[in-house]
Amino acid sequence: MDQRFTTMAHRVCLMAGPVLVVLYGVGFLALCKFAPIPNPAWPAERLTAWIVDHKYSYELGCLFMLIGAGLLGPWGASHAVFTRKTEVRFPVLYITQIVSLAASVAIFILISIFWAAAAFRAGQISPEITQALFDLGWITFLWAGPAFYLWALSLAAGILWNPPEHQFFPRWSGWFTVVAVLSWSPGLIFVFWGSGPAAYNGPLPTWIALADYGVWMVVMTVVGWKAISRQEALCRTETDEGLGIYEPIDPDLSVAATDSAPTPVLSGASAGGRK
Amino acid sequence: MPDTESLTATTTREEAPRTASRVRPEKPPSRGWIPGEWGIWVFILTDFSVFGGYFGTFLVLRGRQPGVFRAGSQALSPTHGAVNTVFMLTASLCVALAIRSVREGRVLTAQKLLVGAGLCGAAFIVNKPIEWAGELAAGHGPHQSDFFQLYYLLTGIHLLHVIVAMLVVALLWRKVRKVQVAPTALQARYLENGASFWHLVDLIWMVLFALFYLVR
Amino acid sequence: MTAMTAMTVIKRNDILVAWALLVALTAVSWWLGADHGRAVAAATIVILVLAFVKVMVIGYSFMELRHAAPVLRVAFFGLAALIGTILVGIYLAV
Repeated sequence: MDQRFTTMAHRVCLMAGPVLVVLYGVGFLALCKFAPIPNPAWPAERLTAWIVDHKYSYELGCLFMLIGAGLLGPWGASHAVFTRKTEVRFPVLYITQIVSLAASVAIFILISIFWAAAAFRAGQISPEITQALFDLGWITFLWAGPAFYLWALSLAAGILWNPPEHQFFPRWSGWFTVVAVLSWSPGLIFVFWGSGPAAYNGPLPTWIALADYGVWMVVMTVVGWKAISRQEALCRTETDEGLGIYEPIDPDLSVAATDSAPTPVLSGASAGGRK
Repeated sequence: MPDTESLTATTTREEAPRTASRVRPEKPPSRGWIPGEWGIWVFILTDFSVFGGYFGTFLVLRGRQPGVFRAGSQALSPTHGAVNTVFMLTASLCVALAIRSVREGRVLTAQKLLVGAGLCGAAFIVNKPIEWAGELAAGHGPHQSDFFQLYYLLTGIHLLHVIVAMLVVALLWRKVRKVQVAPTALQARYLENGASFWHLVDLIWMVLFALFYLVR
Repeated sequence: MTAMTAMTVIKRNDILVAWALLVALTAVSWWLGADHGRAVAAATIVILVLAFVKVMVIGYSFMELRHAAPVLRVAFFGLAALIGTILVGIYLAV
């Protein structure tokens, strides 16, 4: 069975992360104008007026965030395969990771749907309905937490508990993931307060957690890129059938027709011609 | 399995000279020494920064509502806070001494010190809800003002850290039992990581105590 | 063995001395925090500074940074100083 390492697929999946951060940042801050976030203590009429005031920019922001949300899947996948690498027979951490990742993506998408629904008929229907849908988006945004925490924690456990010979992610990145989850966790308690620093527009559940999440995604992207490079270096030394690195051959550059169709080259098997 | 030397020489076990692979020198070696591992310091510095954000939030809100915050801190008991601070500091003292003891192979001393740390931590954990109950009985609930919102939230987050730290101390106690003569490199890393986490919880409290109980 | 015992005693005292210092600083802060009426802002700044001094003492002695790699020391003490300075700055500004 072909078990070659597909570097391009890996790196593209990994770069979905930074694209997500940009899309979400632009959508959240610039387009939806969640800076500052509307206070949950606002009366429904004021919130409706705020939404109506920049309705199309807001909906575009929701669209940006929606697309960004989908990109979480490939980014998470690029890390999960390394967890799986050390757990081939009983992949508990891997399964936890991808199940939680899948849930996180689904909930992440729902958030944008609820926020967009709040604006869809804002001003035409009762402001209380608008406010309820808007709140629903925020509650989902912050209570998506447990899915995200389990995804991140299973990734961290894989890094910290890995056998050292498979240490493709540095141990400190596992610790950083654990503390990141800790900083996101105050997002769970906002439901008890309708206003103040612990409400959904406040620094404790939202801003500090979001800032940490952004930093975490960037750090894990850099760390993930280096992990892919390490795996690539390892695969270049593989000489067995079906192993090594997959590098697509461009048929237009192949040797003249008298030869049989060129077979893909296993880079571990050939000594020269390396990029 | 302990070798026959340490079985027959019970007195020397407690006073065994340090022969561990990671002897801590008086002067730092040229490469420098990291207690535990880099990762735990990434954890510590990040967590402290996140709490820094919480502390900043407190002071910004305090600036906007000075009367509310002053009334809030006057409603708290600095004695309670000071007693809790001493519990935290004494627990840290025990943990620091325990690490030193285990490096010297004095496992039983280290275990006793860790139990001491656990007792101080337990005292803190018991004292906190008593204090909260007192505040609630006086009518100062988490919805009374932004001060009390932050008070219950931040001391609550810190309390969760203390509870985790208690679990860490229990794990350290278990790890210490396996040490023979002196810790191996991996054992030392584990023990120093755990101890450093405890001290983080302690130093966060130093600032919480100042902000909530003392700042006027 | 006597030299090592003496060294051990001294080293153990280092941690005890740090603890005693921390308790003393706590007592001073506690006293300053009592409502004296005058010089509230000055007292508050001293309280905040002392809190971060305590943080650094815990780092230096309990967390064994006195022996640690310089880059870690700079990171820890630098961060503590930065956060402390920012907090005092916020207090004075708002």
